[in-house]
Amino acid sequence: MSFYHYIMSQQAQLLFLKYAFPCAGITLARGHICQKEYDKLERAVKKNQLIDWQTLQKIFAPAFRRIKKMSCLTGQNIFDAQTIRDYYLKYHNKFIDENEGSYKYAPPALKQLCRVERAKIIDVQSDCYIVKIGQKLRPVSKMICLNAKVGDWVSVHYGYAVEKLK
Amino acid sequence: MCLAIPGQITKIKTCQATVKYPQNDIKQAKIITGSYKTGDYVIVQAGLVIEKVPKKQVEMWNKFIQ
Repeated sequence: MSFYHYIMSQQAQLLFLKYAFPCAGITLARGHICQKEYDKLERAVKKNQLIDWQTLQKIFAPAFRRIKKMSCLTGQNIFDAQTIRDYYLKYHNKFIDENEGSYKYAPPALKQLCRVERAKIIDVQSDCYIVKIGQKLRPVSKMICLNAKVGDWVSVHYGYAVEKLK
Repeated sequence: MCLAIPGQITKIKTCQATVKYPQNDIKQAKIITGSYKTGDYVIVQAGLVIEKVPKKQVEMWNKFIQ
């Protein structure tokens, strides 16, 4: 792997963890990971630490399966940040709407939180952002996406703002 | 692990909700947006009430987790 591809892959790793981490609480509750693994993911996402692809693919296997499905259609390299972003912003919700995999068994309220939404920040409080998703307001954690301001657009997954959008 | 399962609001004092989970686990959570009342099932994350779960879906949610 060239140095360029190595850096690209690292950026994709960090971005993937940011998008995938919000559902780790569900993964933990379902017993697919233990508390120690959850804590390690949380530390990594807070401190921008890398977690290797092998571990990420094991913990977030369904997300990877869906990203691979998408890349079969688009021909994109899956270890690229833009591919990860495209998946979460353009394809993720389609898989939910199609009841792919375990979404089949998920209650509607959970599927709603699992969607990745584009949301506008309407207020910044000490412990959260308040974002507007459609007509609804939701408080979301600032943990993954610090330094966003009122008026910024962010992607939101579960109860977290994930990244600022252009 | 509370944030991934619905809890039930047992008390609301100003913007502070007391939320009860299975095995009588009790958590305090802040209500920042939305209207909630005692008896509602909610999802709490990082000390914040983020969403209401219709009562009909609570059992389905708990089954999904198991």
